[in-house]
Amino acid sequence: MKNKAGANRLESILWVLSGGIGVIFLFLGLGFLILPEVFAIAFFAEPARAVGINSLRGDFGALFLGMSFFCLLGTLTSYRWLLLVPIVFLGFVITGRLISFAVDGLPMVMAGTLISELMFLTVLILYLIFYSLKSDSQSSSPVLKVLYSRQFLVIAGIVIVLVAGAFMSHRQIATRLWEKVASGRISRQNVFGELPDGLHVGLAGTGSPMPDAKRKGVCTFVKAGKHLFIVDSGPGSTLNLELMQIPLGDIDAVLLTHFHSDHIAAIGELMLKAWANGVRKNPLKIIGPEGVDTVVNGFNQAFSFDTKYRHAHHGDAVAPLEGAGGTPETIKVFNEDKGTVFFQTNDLKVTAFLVDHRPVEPAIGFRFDYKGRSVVISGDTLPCDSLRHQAEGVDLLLHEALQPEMLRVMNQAGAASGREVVANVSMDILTYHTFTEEAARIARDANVRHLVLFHIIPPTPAAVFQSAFVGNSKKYYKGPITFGVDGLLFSMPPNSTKILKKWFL
Amino acid sequence: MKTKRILIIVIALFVIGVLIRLGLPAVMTGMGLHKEYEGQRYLLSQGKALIITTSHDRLGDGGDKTGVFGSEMTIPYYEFREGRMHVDVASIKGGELPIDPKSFIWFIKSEHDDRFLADPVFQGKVKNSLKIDDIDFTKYDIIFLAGGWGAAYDLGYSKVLGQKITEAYAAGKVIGGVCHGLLGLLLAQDENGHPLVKGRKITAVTDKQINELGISITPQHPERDLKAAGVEFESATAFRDMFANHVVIDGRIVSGQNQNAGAEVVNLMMKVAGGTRR
Repeated sequence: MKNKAGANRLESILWVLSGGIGVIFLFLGLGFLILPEVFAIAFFAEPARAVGINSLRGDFGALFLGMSFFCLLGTLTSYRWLLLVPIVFLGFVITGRLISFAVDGLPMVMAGTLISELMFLTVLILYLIFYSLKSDSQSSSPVLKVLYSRQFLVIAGIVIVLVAGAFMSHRQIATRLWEKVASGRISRQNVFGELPDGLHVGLAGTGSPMPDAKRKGVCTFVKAGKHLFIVDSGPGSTLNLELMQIPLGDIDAVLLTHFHSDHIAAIGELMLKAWANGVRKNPLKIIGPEGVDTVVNGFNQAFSFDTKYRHAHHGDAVAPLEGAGGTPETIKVFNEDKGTVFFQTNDLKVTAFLVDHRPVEPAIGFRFDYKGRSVVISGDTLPCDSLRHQAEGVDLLLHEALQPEMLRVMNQAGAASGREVVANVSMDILTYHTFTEEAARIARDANVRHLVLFHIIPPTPAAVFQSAFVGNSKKYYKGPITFGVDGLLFSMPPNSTKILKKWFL
Repeated sequence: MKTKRILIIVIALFVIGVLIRLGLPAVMTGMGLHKEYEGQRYLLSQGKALIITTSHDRLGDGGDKTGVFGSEMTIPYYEFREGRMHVDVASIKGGELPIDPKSFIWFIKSEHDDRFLADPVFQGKVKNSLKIDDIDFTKYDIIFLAGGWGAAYDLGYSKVLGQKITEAYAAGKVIGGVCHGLLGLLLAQDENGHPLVKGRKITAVTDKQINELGISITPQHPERDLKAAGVEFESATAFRDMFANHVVIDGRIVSGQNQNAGAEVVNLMMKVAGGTRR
């Protein structure tokens, strides 16, 4: 009698614990499904590319929801043997973690998680063992019988041997794989060259001076037929251009909108990479408003040692001295409405126009027209009529965007925690940037086909904040609004209305 | 049976309560109170705006508390700020300016009032409002006169205010306001020394609204006194005038009938001052 009462109590405890585990998995699964990036932080699993959010929602969400489903089903129904499913999953999760500790040589930060997983596994196994002991052999599930069968054990043994073998010959596999990866990378360089004729606009940096884990400093590339332009060169963006396999040696010119750090900090690296990796025979042309010579000469001077080293090391074949550095070229925009056309061929026209980023003066934006397709890049600006005028009827408007409400919260948090610099800067920048909803109204007024928001302020660490950032914009502008992310490519075939959005990073 | 009936009544009351709490503000907005401004907005980058309010805090002697109508100060403040302007707040006597507590009743207050109630910077400006005597109005691009019942006691009687507005107008600045605030124009003069409001098209609170609300104890009434000063008075009407809305531009003077006109008046003032569409 006493034994039975004790057994019953133990069973209820195990029932509660297993149910609790199911609920925890449910919470994690829903978390990954709804707020993937937030939950990924807890698991040190933020995706390296923005598109990785897809796998977070899909794969991670499915893993936890699946475990939860079978855990709860096993607990709440009489099909107790269903607990085998989360047990198997947990077993593999733990195996994976242990392998990682052994192989990856990283600090064991996930040890805490491992311990809780081990605890979960213990509870579920205990419950299952308890169940199979309690129920006599006839009612025991056929599934459990399969587990003890010879065939199953043989297959499991083979799998274990294969995995162990793979890890023992880790180095050989890695070396083989590297050959494939390396040759693949080198030969992939043609992807950009194989883009069909048209106007292509790629986002290589969509951030601002505020640190943003997802976004490099402002940088956009524009490929129009055979011509290639880079607009602005914000910190870190050259790396993105390289990852996107942009042939830096083929750049016609780098265009600068103004000289704030988040638009020019990577010029030195861009000039160097275009020269030493792209084998340029002449310096990179860098076009910008008055003052561009000071900026470019400064970078030339700062990189003059590196130029000498590279030439001394690689010689003329890779780093011919005459191609090093950059040459500045000043654009003067006199007519506020019309702007200045500074590059023109039969098919392509590039226009610079004034924007309002006071006290930064002059600050300019650019418009590209190629075979009936067009894009306007705002640079940094308040809402201004010259941009509205230039953007009239364009296919694509890349407009800088600041969300004042989100910034206001940051300001108040900064003030509350005594971080006055945060509080002051977050208020000051309101006066020379465009609010998201204003960008939408400009897109509406100018009959733009597609609005792309970039130069995102404040940094939005997770996709869930996008809707807050966009705010009421959709009320004003009915066309598509893309929240800019590094790696997006917009392709516009000649003389059509299509705008194809691709992933290019 | 009896307990069941009581339960049903309690639940019904609760549901009705929730519906009123959630629905009444929307109904008020739907009728026209603080209706969202959907017209063109403007910005005046690097510009400065001055909001002026009353310092008078009582209706009659020892009557109900009053002051500036909350939203007639908060809506302009935030619209100017979103128009990238620097905004100062001043009052006739300076120091902490009085806000009409009725304007913050839950079904009357606007979302800008809520914002104010959570904004330490703006609250600081209200606690330590500038005294108009100490300010050079010509340093501002825009002078905005907020209303509320308190304004009927001091704005139209302040010679200092009259003088300062005269100077600002002569310096080419944009002057405007809503509701009782426009009484502040009464003592101002134009470039030729004539009364500024004479022969001008201006709107403000109507006598009808004052009668409807039953508050005629104040010494000045905008419609009556502006008309007496030679204004070509304009207004709109509704089944209650507090839901009506009307805005008039006459040269550099922009006026709004009541609290519902704040956002429109502010944006038109920035437009007249040379602002950019935003």
